Amino acid sequence: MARERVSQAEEWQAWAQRYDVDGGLRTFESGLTLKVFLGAVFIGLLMMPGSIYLTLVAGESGAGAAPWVAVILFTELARRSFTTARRQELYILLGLTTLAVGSGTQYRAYPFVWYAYFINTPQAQSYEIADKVPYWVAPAKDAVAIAERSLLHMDWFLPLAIFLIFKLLAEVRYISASYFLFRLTADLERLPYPLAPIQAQGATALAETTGQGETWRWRVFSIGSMAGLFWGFFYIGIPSLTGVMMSTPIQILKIPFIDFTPSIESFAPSGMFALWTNFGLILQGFVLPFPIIISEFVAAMFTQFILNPRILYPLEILHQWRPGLDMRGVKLFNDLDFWLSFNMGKSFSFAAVGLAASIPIMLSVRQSRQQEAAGRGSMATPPGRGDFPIWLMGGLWVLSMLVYVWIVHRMVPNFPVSFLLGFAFLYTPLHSYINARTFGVLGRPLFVLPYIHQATFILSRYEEIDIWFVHLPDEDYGAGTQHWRVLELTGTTFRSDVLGRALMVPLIIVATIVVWHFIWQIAPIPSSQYPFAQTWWPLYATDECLWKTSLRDGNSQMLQAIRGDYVSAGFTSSLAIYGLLWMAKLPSMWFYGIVGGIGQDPGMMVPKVIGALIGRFYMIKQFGLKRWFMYNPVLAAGFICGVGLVGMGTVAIALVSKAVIVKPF
Amino acid sequence: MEKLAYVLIFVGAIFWVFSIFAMQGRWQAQLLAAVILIVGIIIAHVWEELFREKK
Repeated sequence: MARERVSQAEEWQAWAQRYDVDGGLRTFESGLTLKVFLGAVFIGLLMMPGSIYLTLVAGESGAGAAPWVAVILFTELARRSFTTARRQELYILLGLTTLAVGSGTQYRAYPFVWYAYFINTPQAQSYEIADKVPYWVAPAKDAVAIAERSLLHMDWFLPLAIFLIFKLLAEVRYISASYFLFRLTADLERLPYPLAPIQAQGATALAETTGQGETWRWRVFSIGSMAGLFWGFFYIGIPSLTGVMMSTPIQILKIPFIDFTPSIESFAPSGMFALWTNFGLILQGFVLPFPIIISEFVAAMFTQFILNPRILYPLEILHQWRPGLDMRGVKLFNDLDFWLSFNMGKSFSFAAVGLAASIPIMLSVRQSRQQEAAGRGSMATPPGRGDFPIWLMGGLWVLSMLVYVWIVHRMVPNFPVSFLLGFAFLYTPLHSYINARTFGVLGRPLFVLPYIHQATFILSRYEEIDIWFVHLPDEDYGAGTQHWRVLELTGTTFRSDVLGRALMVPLIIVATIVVWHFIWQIAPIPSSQYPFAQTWWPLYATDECLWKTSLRDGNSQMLQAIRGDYVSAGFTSSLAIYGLLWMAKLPSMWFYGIVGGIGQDPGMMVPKVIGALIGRFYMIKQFGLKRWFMYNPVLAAGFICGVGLVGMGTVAIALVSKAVIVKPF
Repeated sequence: MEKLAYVLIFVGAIFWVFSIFAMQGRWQAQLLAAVILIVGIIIAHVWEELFREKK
């Protein structure tokens, strides 16, 4: 019997409906209320100093679980006050506390103290960088503000002012561009965003506990949480706790993988296989589309057991491989020889296929509008979702990007402005669109152009070191599109989310700077008070010096690894695969699976494959397709919550142990 | 239109294989194959969205 053709848009729409656990029928409500905002401010500002401190002391912030703790606390308060918490409120609370608690835990995100340390390091002196750090990054190394360890000093005025402006502009760009791309990928192309329901269902399940009747969601969430607690204790807790007490931590399962690469080299030279031991990924296998996981795994197996050892290695394309290498060595050499270039080409094919599929859909929408037929692939928005005019968001992005480019140009006036404009208006939209699509289909980004900054600096023939301290306007808004999908699934109006962020972000920026100031006042960073920083910051300083001086002799091994013929091979072969699948009337998901899996390590996919097989051949039979697709995002959300709680608990114990000073008498 | 898409995709795929084996994988030849494939894929989607008779 001839296979019936299903268009890509129809295929994606069918999957999107499967993930839409409420059947696409929902009313939208604002999630931003005074109690939510005050709760987020209170919890965020209470936990944020702790998470920054923990990062400097132990290298672990605990920021992953903190928002869940906040939400659980909030729901418990609601229950004891005989009131209810709506899922919209909980999702906004989750988002705002994530924003607040996670803020500043990366020393790079608020780099003032880091640069104050960096310019006084022996490394910066010996690499002749210390005197070349621009005045808009940090004051001079002998400045009073650095000697007094104070961020609240006039010496910091310019770095802080530029930082503040950049942060606010970045927020405008992020919101407007991710919204624009969401409308394109979710509304028009109907991509399913398979991992979005996990976040949505976590908030929904917890909201139900405050209502009159608890439903299946809370039960399933609790099962997931308990599984997460057990797994988290086994996988994270035991190594962390024994690491506090012993010199070598006990790992029952080797973290993060067991490397079988040396074992397979006799029959698969230049192949790699490292079994990832994070079996929490099984739950992702439950959620992600089955055809993608299986085709990805098969393509990865084909690469490592046939393509690499039987074709590329004998042809001496993979010429640096030698026996005895572990997974990291094999990956490094294979990437330099071939896969780095090939993967670049294949990621471009995602953009080409996306555009080829989108343009006809847009034409079709125009035609259907003329026929007054609403429906699939429409840019029409659901009533009450709180959408913004798309021209407004596009205009805001263009305007904020132009202002950003102008400021950067003023900071580095001799750097060619054409490169800045190219990054802002060619690279960033392309990069973001590709990753928005791969998030919509695979739940992860696929487009990464390595060493693009170095390539740019070489091509621009710009030799000053100040360009290394500028944030070039190359951004990726792809991941942000998923957030809008979660808002849609939780029935939260978009405007309430944007308003919440607009109120929260300025507050957080100022609060984080003040907190960094006080933590710096306690003791110098790094110092024995902050052991993690004391161990790692000198290494980071060396690393930074190496990067910033890497192009002085105009030579880079990485750039030499990028070859046009291999990039073309990745691009064209991926297009050919897409075309041939279309000819055979096979689902386009296979394309994303096959092309996503080519060149990858199959060992890292094993947990997801196990999850996909259990889901497909046991769970669906047991619970039925519809109910299983309702259960699994809730289960995964509970699991993440459980693992996060264990992580936070172990960090707290580690913190206590670091705080204990053993006296010699 | 569907037939045209079939032909272009088929020719593009064959030409890519040819460029690898007979032209030492020169990037210019590969990109020509890519252009043929992209045109074929666009025509395929245009046909699907605008001209295909749906049941």
